[in-house]
Amino acid sequence: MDFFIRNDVLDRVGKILIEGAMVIGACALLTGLLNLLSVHGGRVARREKNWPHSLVLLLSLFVVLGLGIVGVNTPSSQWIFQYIYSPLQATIFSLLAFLIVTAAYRALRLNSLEATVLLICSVFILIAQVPGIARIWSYLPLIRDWIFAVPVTAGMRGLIFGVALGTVATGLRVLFWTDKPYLN
Amino acid sequence: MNMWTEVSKAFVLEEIGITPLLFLVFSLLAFAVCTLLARSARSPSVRSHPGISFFRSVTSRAAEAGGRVHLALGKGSLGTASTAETTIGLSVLEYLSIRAIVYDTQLLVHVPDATTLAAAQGVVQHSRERTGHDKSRGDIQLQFVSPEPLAFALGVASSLEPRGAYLSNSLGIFGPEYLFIGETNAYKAIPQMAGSSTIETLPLMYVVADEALIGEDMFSIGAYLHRPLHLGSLAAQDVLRLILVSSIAFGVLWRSLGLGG
Repeated sequence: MDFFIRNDVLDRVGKILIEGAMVIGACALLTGLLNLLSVHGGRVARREKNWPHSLVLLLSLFVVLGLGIVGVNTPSSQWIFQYIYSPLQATIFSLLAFLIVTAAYRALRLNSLEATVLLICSVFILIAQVPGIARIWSYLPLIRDWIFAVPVTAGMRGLIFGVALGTVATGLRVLFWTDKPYLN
Repeated sequence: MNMWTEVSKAFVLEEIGITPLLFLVFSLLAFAVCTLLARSARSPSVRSHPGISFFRSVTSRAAEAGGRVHLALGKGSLGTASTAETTIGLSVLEYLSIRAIVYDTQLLVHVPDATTLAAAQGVVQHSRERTGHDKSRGDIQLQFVSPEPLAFALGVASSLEPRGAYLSNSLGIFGPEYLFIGETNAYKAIPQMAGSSTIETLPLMYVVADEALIGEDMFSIGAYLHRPLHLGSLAAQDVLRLILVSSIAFGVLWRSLGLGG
């Protein structure tokens, strides 16, 4: 309603609801923090299995929290994200390359029609992406562009339509309370 | 003319255009009519879906064998743009939790968000009340991992790795980090079903999982499993699709014949 109708009362109600959600979110965050301290603090105190992991977690929490309280955009808190968090994330994400290779290997030995189509398309696109391939066969980049522009785009648009319609239908079910599995 | 200007100002039509509003009105009408039909005896029939048939048969075998079923809800939460996907995940959780309680089996659920965790707890509590059993029946574990997608995927994978499962399901919004979960399942030879609304992740799910719910298939799972009322919205989806495809075809013909100016 607030999205579709421009009205002062609705705008005010919408603002109050958003602010209420923010306050609840902040309180929930505090509760979560206390729960985290209780669970992992207990593990460290009782020397349970993997307690050093809990200790590292608590130390990281206090350091990041402390630096965040001093200032979110201070050089020291930025340093943590720039030199610890981002490189760690990038390192873990780079492992996906190996997982993609094993997944592709498994898919391409399935001996089904879909796997054959997938294999032919993958190899073709791989070859067509090589720089300077047009010198060997000038039509190759054109065919690659056509594959991307026509079958790939058509397939993706079909999927996007389906997802959008599914989202609308699910949204309407929630709005009209015909589906409320989480409300008790 | 003045009245139309006033109306368009009041309804923010100047900014968003009339098309979304018309589409919403059409959607509402189709949804209302199809849901009413689904409530009556004239419920629409659905075709067989290999992914959902696989899910049903493996969950049945898990119930017989007393095996653990796993469910990972993808990133997203209630009250955001990903509410629809989260609701679908919760609907599947309801189905699985009722079975876990009735057959006294194990269910392991990983959630990425605090609001989803609260909703999932509500679903489990509701399932217990519906089945009339207390906590002594059905070992249901709800674990909050992390809202950070990569940390979530790694958390799920590391939780599954030592425990194993009879069936692993990943439903919702997943990025390429899904591979950490999918490959762990594949390595441990755990049958798995995956579904996502993220187009980029679907090829990965298709090659890694035993069965994949592609795009809108995921939104239809409730209708197939345990919620006949979802058949109404499923039929409404078909009606809307027909309108959209007809509009596109008509538009293409219109422009091709040079009628659009």
